[in-house]
Amino acid sequence: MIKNPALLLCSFLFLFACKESGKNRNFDSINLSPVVQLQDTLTVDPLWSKENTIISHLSSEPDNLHPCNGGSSPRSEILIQTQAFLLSTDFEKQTFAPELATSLPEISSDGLSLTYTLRKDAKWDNGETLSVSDIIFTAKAQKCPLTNNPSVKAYWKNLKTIIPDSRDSEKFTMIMKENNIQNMSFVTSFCIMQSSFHDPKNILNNFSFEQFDDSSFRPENEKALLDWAQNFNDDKYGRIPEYLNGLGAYKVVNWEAGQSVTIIKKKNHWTANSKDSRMLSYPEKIIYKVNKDENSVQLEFKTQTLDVSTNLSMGSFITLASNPAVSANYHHVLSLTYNYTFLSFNEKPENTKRAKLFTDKNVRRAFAFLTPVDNLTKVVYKEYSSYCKRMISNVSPLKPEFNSSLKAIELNIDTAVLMLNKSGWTDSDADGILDKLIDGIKTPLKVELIYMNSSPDWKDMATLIAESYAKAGIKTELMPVDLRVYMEKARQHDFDMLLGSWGGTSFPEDFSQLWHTKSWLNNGSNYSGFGNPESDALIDSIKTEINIEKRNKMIMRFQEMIYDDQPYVFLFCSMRRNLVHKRFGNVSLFADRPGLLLNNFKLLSTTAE
Amino acid sequence: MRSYLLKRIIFFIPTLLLLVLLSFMLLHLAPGDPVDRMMMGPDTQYHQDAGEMTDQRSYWTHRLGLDIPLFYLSIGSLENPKSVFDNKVGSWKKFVPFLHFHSDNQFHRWLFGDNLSSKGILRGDFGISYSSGQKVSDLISSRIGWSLFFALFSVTLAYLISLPIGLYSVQHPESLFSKTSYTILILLFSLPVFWTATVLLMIFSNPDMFYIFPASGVQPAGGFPAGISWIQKIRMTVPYLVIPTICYTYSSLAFLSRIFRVTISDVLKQDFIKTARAKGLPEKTDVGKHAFRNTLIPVITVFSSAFPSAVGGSILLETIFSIPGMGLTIYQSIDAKDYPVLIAVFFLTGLITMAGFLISDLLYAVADPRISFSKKTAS
Repeated sequence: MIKNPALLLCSFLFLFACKESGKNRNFDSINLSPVVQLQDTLTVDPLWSKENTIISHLSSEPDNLHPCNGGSSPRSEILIQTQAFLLSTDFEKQTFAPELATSLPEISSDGLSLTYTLRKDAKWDNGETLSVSDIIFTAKAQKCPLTNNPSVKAYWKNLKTIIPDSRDSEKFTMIMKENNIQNMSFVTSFCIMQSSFHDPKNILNNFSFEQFDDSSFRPENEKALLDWAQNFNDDKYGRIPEYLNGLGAYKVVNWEAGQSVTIIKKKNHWTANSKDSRMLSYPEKIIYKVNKDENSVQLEFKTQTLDVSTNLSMGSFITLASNPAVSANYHHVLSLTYNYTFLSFNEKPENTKRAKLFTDKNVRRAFAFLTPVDNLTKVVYKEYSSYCKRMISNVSPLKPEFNSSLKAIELNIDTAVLMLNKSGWTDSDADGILDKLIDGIKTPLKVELIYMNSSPDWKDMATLIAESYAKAGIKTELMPVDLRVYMEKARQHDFDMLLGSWGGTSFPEDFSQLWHTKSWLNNGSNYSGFGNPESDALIDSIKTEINIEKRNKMIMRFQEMIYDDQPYVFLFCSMRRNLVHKRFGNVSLFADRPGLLLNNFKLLSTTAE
Repeated sequence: MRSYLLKRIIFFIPTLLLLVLLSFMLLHLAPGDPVDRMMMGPDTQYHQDAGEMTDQRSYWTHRLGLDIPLFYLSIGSLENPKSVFDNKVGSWKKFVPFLHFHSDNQFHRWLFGDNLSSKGILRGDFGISYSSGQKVSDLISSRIGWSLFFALFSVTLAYLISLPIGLYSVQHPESLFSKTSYTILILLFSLPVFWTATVLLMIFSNPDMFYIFPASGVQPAGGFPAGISWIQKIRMTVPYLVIPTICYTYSSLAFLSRIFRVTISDVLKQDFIKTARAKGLPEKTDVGKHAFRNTLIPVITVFSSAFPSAVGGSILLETIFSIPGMGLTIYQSIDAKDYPVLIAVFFLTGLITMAGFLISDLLYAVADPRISFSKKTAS
């Protein structure tokens, strides 16, 4: 008989409450370069699975796998395997490389004509050879106003037309409307579609690029086009394996809703004998398994149900890295990305009810001195924060055009207070909060900081920021909001400060979207209101300059402008958390999305001695 | 009975229409713009020109019909149908409230279709999801199965466990089992389901503890092997369902066993049971034949409330166990402001709830002959 059930209960709870000490943290490596090759394991555990199948973790399901309509990250990850692109990312060299084209295009002197030659050996699953008509169909389908691709249609606006070469059936020229450094890189995002599969009646041949660009064109009045679009937009082309057609080495064989997407290697694929490392396809099968719950993901790694993940939270990553059983079976590596976190000021609160707190750049600079960036990285990356790279300007330090002469602004509260005082912010009423007369009204330095409520890390960072600002007499009101409200407030400039992050790639960057003044006027992504005629002119010059050296010089100058103006406090580069089973070799990690290429993974457990 | 049934079914229609109209209004009043979410993609934050995005945004707002009025009627000013409080400098007309009629409105398109992507609910078309491009009916049909399974199976299991416990407790109220079971059930009831789910996973799906059940999903990764029989499929699926079923079921055990205990206890105090006992009938007959049927009324009431939860699912459990059910779908649709999916879900939930209430009303009449829905004629 139990004499003291309360004591038993407490003992029971104590037993389960005890965590591992975490002392035995075995950490493979910290990758501080944009590309790293993981060393193949020398000892293959005989208990490891010998199946040449990768089970890769997805934290969310793709919206669909339509080659044209769709916009989720999981979709992009899968399409890299099942589709092919005119040009693709050379992850190792961080540039673009030909995939369906034989080489990079010949570009005319004015930058408006890009001539490509298609490779002759690329074949569709029905045996048809890739042709220029497929390229033209792809472009028209993307541009057609009736196709359901709102997230990417604007990419195609700069394409004027495509002209097939009359003498060479594999050659064609893309004519662009304006010179832009992204005229070549934009094609890396769009897979080529088979015209005979998606448009057997050649409906799009009856419509020109000019018509699709003409705002007076009414596509809904064209019955044939309407019928074609209704069929093309049908969900079957995004979900049912028989209708998922592509030039890639893999094809989708199964999609269990909410559970997994399975792709298998095609037999006798045209890349089978390719020596190009980007076209290798070692695994026979890849299963993308959806799991949103961190706890069950951790368990699946412990039980070796999952082979790969780049979607772990830092907490899960540290927990797994400290588990000896997991360390024995998995590489666990933090790798740098081009993404970064920032704190934005509202420099131009015009047409809002917001106080003009940040119109003075010295005030913005003072806030930069008050922001405890090192502590913020500790919040996110815990004991690995020292490996995290600071962002100093709007260009990633991983890129060659990064201006290394710019120095990080370190925490210095005294300097910040002096700067604020010089700008007229003093505690005139001795209430502990700085104040100033703005437009004749005594305005306290009370700042509303908006952040997304999607992760506890944002909250922790915002709290640390508020605590630091309080030391200088600034009252910070924290406002967690969901993504929709966040986007609305950011675009309407209805904020004082906001915490956010941007994604990035290795490709040449067009700074218009984030920094041009028209992006502020149009309620675009220039949330802060940065910009003036000089910066606009520099942005316009950068985006049309094809010469890399000249362009990099301009980019460095632009970084100086940003650094001087301080529209953001740039915080840190994001790091990707990678877990890869050691039974696979030939694994490389890249700063570019998706971070690794599953098709390159070679199974070691059957070949190792 | 037939006229009662017909009356109730006819009553569904205005109720559903009102429900859907309220849903339209609430969804549109909530902050955020579905077109904004549609415009977002993995790369779009970084490369596109703001002017072009604005054009696209306007185009898609128009194409989805989000720029037209919500309903047939709206209150505006004599000058401006959009708002009485429009700040435009204008004539005296802007101060005069006026009821405007709109033949083309979002509710009308939902009913009759837009001649582009939807045929309208009256022709059985819920439209297309903004976020996935999938037909809403296909999306719901692919997800409702598991929600329905867990809702109904867990309720049935809860009944099967609670009823004997309730019965035993009535017959042996002072027994150790009666007291202990009640305490345990109340304790279970008070445990938050997400905590319980996580603890169970950590114990029974953990190679460091007991690795008995898989940690996520409802079937093996990548689906079932080709060529296996349905019995083998069931055998492969069962381990995935054990822990989720426990989580779906345990919280209602306390409530149901208490209901049974109280109801049976009340019935057993009735005079007709005393008569039955006085006649010398065995206790099994007293309880099983006479008392049980009289306890069915609250049982039917609780059972009918399981139907709406079949549509709503459980977002917590579906997230923790990666169950492809309605709960997670609804949450994701709310996040994406996927109006067609949400309106369809509200519609179906309303329909199923009313159907559930109707079925329970009919079952009352079956359980208790004193309840009749027929018109009584004077004798």
